[in-house]
Amino acid sequence: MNVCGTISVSEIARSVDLAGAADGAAWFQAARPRIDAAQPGLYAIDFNGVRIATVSWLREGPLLLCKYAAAIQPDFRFVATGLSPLVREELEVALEATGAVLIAAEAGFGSHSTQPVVLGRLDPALRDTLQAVEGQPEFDATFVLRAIPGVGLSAANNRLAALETKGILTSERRGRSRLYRPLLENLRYGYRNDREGDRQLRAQAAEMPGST
Amino acid sequence: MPAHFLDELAVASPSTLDGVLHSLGSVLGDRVGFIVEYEFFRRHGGTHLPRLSDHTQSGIAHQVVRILDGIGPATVNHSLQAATADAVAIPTALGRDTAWMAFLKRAEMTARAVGFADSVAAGFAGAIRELADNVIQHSEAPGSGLVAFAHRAGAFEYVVADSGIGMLASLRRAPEFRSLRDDLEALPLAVTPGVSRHGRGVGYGYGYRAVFLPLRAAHGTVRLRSGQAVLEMAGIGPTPDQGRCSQRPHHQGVVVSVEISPTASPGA
Repeated sequence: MNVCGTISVSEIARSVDLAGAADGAAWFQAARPRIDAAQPGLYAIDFNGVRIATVSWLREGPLLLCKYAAAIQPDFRFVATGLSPLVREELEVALEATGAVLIAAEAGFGSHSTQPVVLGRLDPALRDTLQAVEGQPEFDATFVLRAIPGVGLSAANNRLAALETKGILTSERRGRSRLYRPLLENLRYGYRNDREGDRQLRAQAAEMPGST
Repeated sequence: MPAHFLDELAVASPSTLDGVLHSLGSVLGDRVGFIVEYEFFRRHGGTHLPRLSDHTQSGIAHQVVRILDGIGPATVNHSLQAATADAVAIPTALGRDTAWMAFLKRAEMTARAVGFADSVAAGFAGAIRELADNVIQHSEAPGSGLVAFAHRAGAFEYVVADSGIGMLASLRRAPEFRSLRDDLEALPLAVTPGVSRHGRGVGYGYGYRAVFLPLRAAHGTVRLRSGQAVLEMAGIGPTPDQGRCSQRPHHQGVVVSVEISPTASPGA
C-alpha cells in the first residue's frame, strides 16, 4: 500500500517536546483539518525529531486523530514513523491504555528493507492469527484455518476481519473468497514487555557526571 | 532538612517559630519544595505561621510569596537561559502561552546545567507540564497553581502545587473510588498507572508516569502531599510502587516536589 501523505507531528505542534492532555487536544484540533481535506488512504504520522511525547499527549493527539479518521472513513490507515525509543515506549503505553493498535515503521517504509511492527496489545486470538500470517504476502481464511489448529472457518474469517478493522490488514474480494494482505510488507507483531527506553535511559545515566 | 520539619513547624509556638525560621533563613536558600509547601500550608490552615519572606533573603522565597499574594512580575520573563531558581503562576490555559513556554525552557536548561542529559532535562520539563495540566483539569481551582524550580549543589528540584480539592476528593469523582476512606488510601492510588478520576483502566491516569520516567536515570526523591497524607519515594530510579505513605496535618490541595541528582551511584 502506498503512502498518500505525511502528517508531521512536530510541525503541527511547533515543538519537539510534547506533554499534557491539553496540548495533545490542541494538536488534534490543528491536525484535524488535514484529515477533513484528505482522501482515504495510508498516511504516515511522522514523529521525526520529537524528543518526548507523554501518554496523555499521545492519547489526546495522534491516537484521537486515528480514531476520528476511522469514524469518518474506515479506509484511512496510519503508520507511525520516526519514533525514538523513548517516544515509541510512551506510544506503546498509550496504545495499551486505550486498547488501540498502530503500526510503526521506519522512514522509507513500503520497501523490503523495513520492518514494520504492530504496536499495542492484541487479544490472544488476534495475536495468534497475525503471527500465523507473518511473512505471507496474501492469505485467506482457509490459510488461517490450516495454520492454527482448532480454529474453524467462521472464526478465521472473523479474526481476519477484526485485524482489518484495526487497520493491520487490507482485503479485496476475489471470486467467492476474500483475500487479505498486511498493510505493509513484512509486518510483524511488536508487542513487548521489555522497554527500549529503560535501556536508553540507563545508558544515559552511565554517561553522566558522578555515575559509577 | 527533613521534609517532616514542616509538620513540626505546624505545631510549634509562635515565639519558637520566629526564632527557628530566623535561624533557618539562610539555610532555606533555594529549597523550592520546602518553600512552596510551607507557603501553601501557611495560607490554608496554618495562618498562625509567619511568612517565610519575613525571615529569609532568599529571592525565590520572596518570588513565591509575591505570586501567591497575586502580585505579578513587573515584566514578563522571556529568557530561555538557565536560572538559579524561578517560579511562575500556572496559566489557566496553557496553550502556547509564551511566558509559560519560556519558563519550561528555563527549567530544562537549568536541569541541563546541573548535568542531566538533554532528553532527561526535557523529560523534567514535560513532567512539569503534565502536573500543570493536572492542576487545570483536576484541582477544580486552576487559578491556584504554582510551579517553581531550582538548581542547588548538584541537584535539580521542582515543585508543582495547587490549593484545589486534593487527590482524595478528585479520585472520589469516580464511582469505583467513592468508598475511599482517606488520603492514606488515595495517594498511593493516585500515582498508580491507569488510575484517575475517570476510574481505573479506561485510558487515563498516566500523568505521574511522566514524573517517574526521567528519574530512571537519577537519584532522587518524589514527595506528594495532599489532604492528611504524604507519600514519599526515594532512591535510585524511584517508582510509584515503593512509596511510603504517612499521616500529616491537613494540607489543602496537592503539592508535588521532586529533587534529583544526576547520578546512578548508590552512595551519592
